[in-house]
Amino acid sequence: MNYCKRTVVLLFSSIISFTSYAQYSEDDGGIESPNGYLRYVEVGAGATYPTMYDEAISPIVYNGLGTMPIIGYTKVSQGTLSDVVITASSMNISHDKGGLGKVKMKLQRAAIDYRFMFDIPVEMRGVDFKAGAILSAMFNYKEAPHLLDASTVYDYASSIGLTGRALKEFVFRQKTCFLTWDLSIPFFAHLSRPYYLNRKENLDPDNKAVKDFFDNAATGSFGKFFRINSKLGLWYRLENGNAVKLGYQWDYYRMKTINKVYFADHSLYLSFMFNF
Amino acid sequence: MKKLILIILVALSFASCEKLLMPDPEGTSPNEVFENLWRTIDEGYINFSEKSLDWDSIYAEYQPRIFDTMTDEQLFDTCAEMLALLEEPYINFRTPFSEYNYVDFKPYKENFNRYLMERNYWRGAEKTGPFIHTIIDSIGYVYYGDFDQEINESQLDIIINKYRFDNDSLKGFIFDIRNNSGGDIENAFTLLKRMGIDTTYTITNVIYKTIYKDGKEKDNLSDAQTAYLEQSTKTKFPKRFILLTNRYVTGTAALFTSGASSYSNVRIYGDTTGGGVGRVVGHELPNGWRVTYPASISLTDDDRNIELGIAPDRQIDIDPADEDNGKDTILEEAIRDLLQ
Repeated sequence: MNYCKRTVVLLFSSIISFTSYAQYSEDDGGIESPNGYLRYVEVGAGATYPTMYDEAISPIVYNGLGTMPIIGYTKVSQGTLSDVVITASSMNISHDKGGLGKVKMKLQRAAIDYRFMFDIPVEMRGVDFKAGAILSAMFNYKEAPHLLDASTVYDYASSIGLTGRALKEFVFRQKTCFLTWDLSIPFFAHLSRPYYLNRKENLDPDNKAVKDFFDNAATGSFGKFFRINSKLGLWYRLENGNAVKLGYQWDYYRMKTINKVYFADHSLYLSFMFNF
Repeated sequence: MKKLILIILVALSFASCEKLLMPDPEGTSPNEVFENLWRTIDEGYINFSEKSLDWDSIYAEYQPRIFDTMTDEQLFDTCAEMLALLEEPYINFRTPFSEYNYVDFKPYKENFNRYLMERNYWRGAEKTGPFIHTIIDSIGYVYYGDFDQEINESQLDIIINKYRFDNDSLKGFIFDIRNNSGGDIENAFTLLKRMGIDTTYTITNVIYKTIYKDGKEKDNLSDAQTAYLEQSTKTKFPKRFILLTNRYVTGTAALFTSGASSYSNVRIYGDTTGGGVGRVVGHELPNGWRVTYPASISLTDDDRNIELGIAPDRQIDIDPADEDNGKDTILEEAIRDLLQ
């Protein structure tokens, strides 16, 4: 509950500060920078529903519901689009199998995705396409106290891959709106998971958690790390060039080191896109 | 409008692939639960080399006794019977209706009587943080009963200054950790850094070594990882130092005893320590039942298994006759030796 309150306060303060920078424009297309870019700062929040099957934790599927703040920056020119989006969430995920009461596990998740895309000179029935590359990093921290000395588990991956966007422009209530669908699939990753049985060597006074983290790191392709990120966005442009975006994201990854983790989450969110 | 709907449908169809991409959870039939339990112990338990039993033949013996029509209670009884063969105190098997733990019935002596200590030795003692300390017959005495109680340097400064500099007549120092069942290892490190003798150079001590289970095969063990500790440059405890232990010194307190035994000026009196020093791993079975098991071994500097206990330099038990007279035999012997 405290986390939700903090998120709401943070969002409100961000909205107030960013609104003061946004400038009114008669042009429906929004404010352009001197170099001809349309720039947006995105601030939003939503609900997220993760599902996790982690062999390092349990042969039982865990899931839960949490909040997810989003901040991002988007830059659009005539032929290119780049954006960086940061999402984070902290929640309890659980299962109630076995009759030992509801088993809870803390899940903290953060991800940053940077994408750069070019327009593809293909137009199919009024749908524009873009394609490019994605650089992303994600870190999941899980604390399952019922596993005693094996309670701490993490998944980390930095990856590079391909991304694409399909965009359909349409008019709604005399306003230009966009429906976007983004699909990203990394093909090469640097990743890390805990040692066998999630051991932490905290009995050693010289042990460094960061060293363990890098000792366990590996690089690989689809066999070790497979992620699909699919985002659907509905943009509704406001009078002053700002926009409101209703988004739905499905993010899935499978990571394989000494054991496997499968993770998927569905997120529904609302973002304000501040044009400046 | 059709194109909008098409884009939405294509996007959502990806999310509907989730069922294909996520694995099917393991089944919860008695056979599947038994298989998971046997495999978990097979791949995670570290003490097979200490036990004279063949886990594969135990599978061959118990698996035929599992039927998918058996009740949960029957499954629990069979699994608990199998686990009991390991005679392992750190294996715990928990279900909603019953719990299994191996109980070691060896007749260990208590060797500590708190009531007696409070009445006859701690009366008028000072309390600094978690330490109870006093002077008994020209000997400094400190009791520390719980490694979960935080220790800081300023508390140690107060105690060390009192027993080293403020009382020139003191002949030695006794540090009593009997009945200390462990806690935060950082507190053990803080104490151990202030032990040993004052030197003009830095001494690094081996306090213990740890071997971890490092893979699914029984011989997949890590190299022994040595825990070194660099002594503090601050003033140390008095040189003539006796540590009192008993069988109920377990976990971090047993690791502390291992570290203390590596100092040449420290002597240990009392009884052999208990175990409980390894990391204990918890595991969920597919039906939600839980099992815990040890997954590391801790050794002293000279490769003695700390789990089996650290024997004292002088084995002393409390004599019931002394106890009846309000005397703690172990403490009295330590005082007598320090006074000589």
